[in-house]
Amino acid sequence: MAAAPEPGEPKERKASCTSLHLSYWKAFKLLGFLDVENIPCARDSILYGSLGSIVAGFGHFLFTSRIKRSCDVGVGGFILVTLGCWFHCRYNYAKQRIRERIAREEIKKKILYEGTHLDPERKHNSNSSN
Amino acid sequence: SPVMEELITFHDHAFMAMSLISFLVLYALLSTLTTKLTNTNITDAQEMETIWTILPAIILILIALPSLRILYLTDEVNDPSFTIKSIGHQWYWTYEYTDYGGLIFNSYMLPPLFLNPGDLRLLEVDNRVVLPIEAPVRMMITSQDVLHSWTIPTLGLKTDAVPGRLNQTVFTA
Repeated sequence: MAAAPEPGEPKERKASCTSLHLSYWKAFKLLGFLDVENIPCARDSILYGSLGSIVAGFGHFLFTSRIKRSCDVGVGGFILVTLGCWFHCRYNYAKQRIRERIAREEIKKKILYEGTHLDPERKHNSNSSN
Repeated sequence: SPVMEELITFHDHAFMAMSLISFLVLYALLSTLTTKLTNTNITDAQEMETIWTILPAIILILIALPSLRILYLTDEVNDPSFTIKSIGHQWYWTYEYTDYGGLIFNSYMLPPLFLNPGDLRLLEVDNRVVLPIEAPVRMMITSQDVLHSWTIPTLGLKTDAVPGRLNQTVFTA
């Protein structure tokens, strides 16, 4: 049996429905293996793809009243929209990471060379004054 | 490390392609099982056969090109500033820092009884390898007895230690 906490000591966190629900939600994998939580852009692509699938399939059904063909159109729409969103999102993600890396390196250079003749800001200011 | 980032990007790319193909095949399977259409007189379907030959070929090329790019990226040698030799034994590693003096030491795994609270089981060693950060390091890996493998998963490194052979890997921590 656990000893009673002393005054001032933080109380132990008890498992709650919320934390259990959150821990279950964190382990969610689409179709059992697609880790949409941890792969960047996966969740958005799947969600937009699902939306595109519903729009395409339902729209086709409204115009043609053919169930099977509408399901095929829905699946095709899902694949195309997912792929399109995926590549668009990954392209922006890659550009963002490049910008972050450049910013990190520039900050490092600024910290390293501040006050010296290699200071990039000093060079830029002297060029603009000339 | 940059190589590990590229590996993770390629994994995400291939994983998405694989997931969509799996989804499509699953749908085709369900569709075939539930269809009421039956035709026992089909002789040929050249358009369909052309599509299901060319499309997978295109998908494979789209997966293979980044894969080859990363394969050659991992083999790039970009003027390493430091060389360490790693020799595998049963069951410890010997590290030689010969560039600046002759530092040689053995690295044994700490048994669980010798671990301090917070230490990583099966990973902590008595003498650690010290690597410079943001500097290219050349690692020469070999073995004294049997096959071993030298790996740092978070840096995307894995090289076999083969007796009688010197393998090289270059990385930037």
